[in-house]
Amino acid sequence: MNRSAQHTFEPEEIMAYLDGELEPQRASALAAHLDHCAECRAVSAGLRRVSDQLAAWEVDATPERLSANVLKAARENAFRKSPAAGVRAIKPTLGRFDAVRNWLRPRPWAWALSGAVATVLFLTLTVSVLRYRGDHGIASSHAVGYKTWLETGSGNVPGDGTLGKLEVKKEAKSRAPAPPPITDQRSRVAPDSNGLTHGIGDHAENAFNVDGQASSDQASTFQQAPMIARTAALSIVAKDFAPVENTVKDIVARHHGYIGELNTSSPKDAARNLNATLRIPAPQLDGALAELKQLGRVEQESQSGEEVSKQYTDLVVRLKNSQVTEQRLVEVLRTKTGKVHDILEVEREIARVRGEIEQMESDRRTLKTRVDYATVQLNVNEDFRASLQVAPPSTATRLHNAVVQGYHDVVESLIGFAVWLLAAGPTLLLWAAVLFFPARLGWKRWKHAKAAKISTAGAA
Amino acid sequence: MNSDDHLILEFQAGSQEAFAELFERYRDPLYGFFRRRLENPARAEELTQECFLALLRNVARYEPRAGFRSYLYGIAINLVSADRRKAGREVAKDDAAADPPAHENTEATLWVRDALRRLEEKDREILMLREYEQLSYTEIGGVLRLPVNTVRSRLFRARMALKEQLLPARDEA
Repeated sequence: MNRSAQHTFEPEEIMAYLDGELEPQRASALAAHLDHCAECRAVSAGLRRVSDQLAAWEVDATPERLSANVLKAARENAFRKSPAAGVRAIKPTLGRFDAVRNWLRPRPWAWALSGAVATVLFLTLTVSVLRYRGDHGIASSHAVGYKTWLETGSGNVPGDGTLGKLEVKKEAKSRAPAPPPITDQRSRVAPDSNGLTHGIGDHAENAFNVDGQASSDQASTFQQAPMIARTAALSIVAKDFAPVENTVKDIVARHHGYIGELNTSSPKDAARNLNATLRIPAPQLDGALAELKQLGRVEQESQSGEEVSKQYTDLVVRLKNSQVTEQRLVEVLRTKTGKVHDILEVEREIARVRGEIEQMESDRRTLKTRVDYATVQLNVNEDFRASLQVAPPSTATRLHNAVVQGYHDVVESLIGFAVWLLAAGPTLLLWAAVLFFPARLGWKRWKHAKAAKISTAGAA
Repeated sequence: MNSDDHLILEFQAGSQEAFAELFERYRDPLYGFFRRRLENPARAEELTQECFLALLRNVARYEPRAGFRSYLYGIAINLVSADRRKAGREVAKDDAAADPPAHENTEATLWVRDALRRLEEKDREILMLREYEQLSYTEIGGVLRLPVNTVRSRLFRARMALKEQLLPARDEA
């Protein structure tokens, strides 16, 4: 198409003018130009003719059933308040994968609800698992502790459950040899600085007269046998638990001992237990232990001995010195005359010395008792056999228990969720704040890329 | 009278009347759109229905950026493309169903269809969107993701090509 240089409008602009796509000022100028430019009018007429010819292609009328189908879908859509719900009503016209796409379409409320339910289930399950693990872990710990206790005598033992009431015990690091009879060994000891000599144990006590002078036949002769405070621990499993308590009492009585403490427990649906502290005369300890072992199967036995000879000797010496001091003070008070102040001072000193003597005497007796009477820690557990429960809990009871358990689980899960939220919330918020903008940017780019892809596909 | 963009926003808010109005406005144009691009009138009807269903399905995600007409015909273009791909995979087609009605087989119509078929696909689509759907250059650009200047130049090229094809044919006739 040859056009003279005087034309200030391109044919493309004429086309845009005819389509109403030209800017108003430019359109006005072109309209004026067309009035006196035949060549441009020819271009315009040619373009119009093309459009007119294209308009000759008419199509048939739209089928009425189309309206019915679409409007029906729209009504169902409104009824279900879900844009896609009604769309599914016309499946024959949908594509092959539209059902899947419909199912996967975004439904924020549904996804939010599903997420909340999944979270609650997850937390409930987590709390339950953790609680189960915690219980199992404690049980395992008990089992290990009990096993260790059985094997080595160290470690904790279970304090509940079928094992009953067992105390924490420690086995003696080394078993002390059975002490020889106290009266069998004697030896001489040197007199102390006061010219007094001392005995050990009962015999040491007998080595002194009331006035503090060494007795004539024992002044230089004392027992040198070590003083041993003996302790023993026995853990026994008895098949027949009923006569155990009486048997223990008989054994103690037969050996002239006494019961320091005795506890029995009979929990429901669990093993019964007897826990006792026995005091047995030291020379008869071995015999008593042998009889106690007849109660059942011995699971644990330990013996220990603490030598208290030096402690007892020191105590006796200090006691004797205090007694001598007291006698001298009494003598001074009786024979000497002086001021009242001096008399009162002597009396106060006598009172102090007497207090010390009484304290030391008490300690000596306690120490002597520990030596004379060995301590036996006895634990007897029933060899428990669970019996068949003839009458199971009623349905109402089970339902009630289930409701209570469910309530507890809900509370536990809520508390667990709250704890988790408080613990992890700040971190989640921080990361959400950090990742929000990159995620939004990525989302926008993805959407644009998808839109471009769709457009490209459509264009293709 | 409410604009299309206003109606779609009302429909997005839940107004069924707005959708009914939109459907009334675009039922025939959309059917014509598919009918001119597909041989099978039944398939054109199905795709018209599917286009409105897609509008129902995706109205919640509609964003008034390029205008409603661009959005609607964008859906239609995609449906046609998908249908053509699907038809390409299918070996057997019902030729009887593909025949246009007798009243469409006028001489002028056949000339137009034949002339359009000779155009480059992109140019043909731009031309048809302008001539039959009456979309503006901007709307065509929105549908086909093309710059407005590109739309205008391609549209001009298509019209010039069609002018050269149609006029001699008419003259010969």
